[in-house]
Amino acid sequence: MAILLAIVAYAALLVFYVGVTVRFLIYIRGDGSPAPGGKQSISSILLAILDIFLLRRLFNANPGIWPGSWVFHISFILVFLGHLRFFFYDVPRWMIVLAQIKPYAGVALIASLAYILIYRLVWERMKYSSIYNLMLTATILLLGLTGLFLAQYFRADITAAKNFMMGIFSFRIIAPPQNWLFPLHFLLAFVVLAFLPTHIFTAPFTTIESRRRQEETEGLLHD
Amino acid sequence: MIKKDSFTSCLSRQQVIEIDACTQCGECLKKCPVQDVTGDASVSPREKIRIFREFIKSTQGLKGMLFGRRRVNQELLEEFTKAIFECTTCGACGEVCPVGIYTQRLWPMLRREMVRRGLGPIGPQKLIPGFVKETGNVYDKPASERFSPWFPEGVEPVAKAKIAYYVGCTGAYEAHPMVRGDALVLAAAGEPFTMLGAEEEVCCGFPLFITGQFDLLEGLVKQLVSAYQDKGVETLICSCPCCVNMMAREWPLFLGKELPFRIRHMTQFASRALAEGTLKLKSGFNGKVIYHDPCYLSRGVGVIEEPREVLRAIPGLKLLEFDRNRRDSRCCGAGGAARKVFHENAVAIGRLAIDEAWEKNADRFILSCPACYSKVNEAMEGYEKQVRITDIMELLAGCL
Ligand code: SF4
Ligand code: SF4
Repeated sequence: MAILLAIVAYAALLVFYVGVTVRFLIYIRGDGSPAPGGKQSISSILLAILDIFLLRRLFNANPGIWPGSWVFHISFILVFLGHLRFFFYDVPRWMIVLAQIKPYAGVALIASLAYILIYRLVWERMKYSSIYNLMLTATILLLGLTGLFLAQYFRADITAAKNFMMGIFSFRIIAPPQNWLFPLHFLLAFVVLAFLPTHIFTAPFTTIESRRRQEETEGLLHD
Repeated sequence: MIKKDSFTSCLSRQQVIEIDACTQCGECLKKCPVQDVTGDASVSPREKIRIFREFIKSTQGLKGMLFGRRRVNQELLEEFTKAIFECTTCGACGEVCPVGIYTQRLWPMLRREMVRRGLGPIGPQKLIPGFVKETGNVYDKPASERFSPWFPEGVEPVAKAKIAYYVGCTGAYEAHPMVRGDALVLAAAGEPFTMLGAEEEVCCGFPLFITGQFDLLEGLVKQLVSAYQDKGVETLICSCPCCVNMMAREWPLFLGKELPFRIRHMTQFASRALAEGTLKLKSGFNGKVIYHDPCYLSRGVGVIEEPREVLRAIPGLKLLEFDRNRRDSRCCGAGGAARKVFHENAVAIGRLAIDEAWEKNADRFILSCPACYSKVNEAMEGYEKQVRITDIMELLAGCL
């Protein structure tokens, strides 16, 4: 079992790192068209940061789905950060604080994903959403649920889990904790990593650029 | 440098990032007029981005590296080409996009890639470069007919002036009441204005740009800019939103530097002249009018309030709004050089706007774009819901 989990983890990490590198190479090579561009004021950059934090463009586009999506993004980050203590021997204080917040963030994550799914499937009747989007939402929801059950009902040995994770990252594979749910949670986490949507890295840039463009458009035909 | 097998060599870095930033959320589908009338998911903005992303992945991405660069399925390429040329480039999808993808500029570049691969453009769009080369306009009409059929008697452009008026091909050949209105309003405002001769005023390049056929662009832009510069122009006025867009956004890129003059839309000139009192109205219009924001004017260059200011200045006029207005306005079906190829789509989209104007009991359907003017008139032909179409300057000129 340990070997199988390790293979999946290494494969997912490889896909993730190589994927990001290849993408980066494609980005820096793609420069074949004359493109408008220009300076961006500090206020526009600050507004763009607010746009990213509040997902303002999504709010304007679809205020119905926005609460679910906003809570999802924030709770996902908190849950991710809450897991960091599994990768460090000396756990700093802030990681401990985040780990304490994690259970609440986990519940928020599950609730928000359930809201998104219901909104898309029932309210919008799947008219606009893509299958990919739906599958990803469902996978993360499953990941969240297995995490919640692991933390609340089918508790895994935290020390064994940490040792197993540390072993994976230092290429010393040891047995995972004796818990039937742990491998499922682990596998789902790495599946999500391998299929991590690229907008996580690129959407902040396009959001900042859309603010710059808005500023540019206002000045194009106006003094 | 354009690389043969690359799918990104026509794109800017920002655009490659934009393609990756699409979350496939589908919000854009709710605003796409082509989607509205065809119901065909393959022409949706989301799907076009997804497919193009696949092209990149299988040739330059990790997939291509792991499984070897694969030849992209020819059938898929052809389907994609059709979808990308069926779009009206109205930009409504980009306006609503939660991650801010600038689709109004992305689509022409994807079209360019398909042109480079010999797959696009489609149908009569292929003839545009030849027509522009031969006649200077996209309609293959003689230059001698560019101004003569509609130019008002008694209006005299001067040889050199700070203000110049560019008519544009669509106005000159397909929307005479509109450009005639422009000339009358310009003359009534009393400021001297200049124009290029009918042979000299060639296409601004927009139809070539929007269909991804870039070869002639640099030459056209340089020729026009230098001609206006020779006339001492400080402000170049035009009533076609597509031309205005091309001039303000793309001309500097093809010229390689900033333009030596400002670009303004005709409604901006009229609204200022009305506010300053240089343009005086002798009569009004008693009735309800509904104003349609052209995509390339509102979303394109942010001219939104000036047309409304002009209309509100007309005594007796009651201004109605479409449910989707200003930056959210719905395309009338004329854009993206698709109207001559996908005529049925364009008419069906135009009729959606006519339906709303009719339901709101508008006496006039007001436009401020020659392409909209021409296409909505076509959509009105034979339709049971009749609303009289009028260009904004045609209406204003009638009140002088
Ligand atoms: S709205 Fe934007 S992010 Fe969403 S599917 Fe459309 S293009 Fe992609
Ligand atoms: S630009 Fe307009 S027609 Fe084209 S995909 Fe976007 S919304 Fe649809």
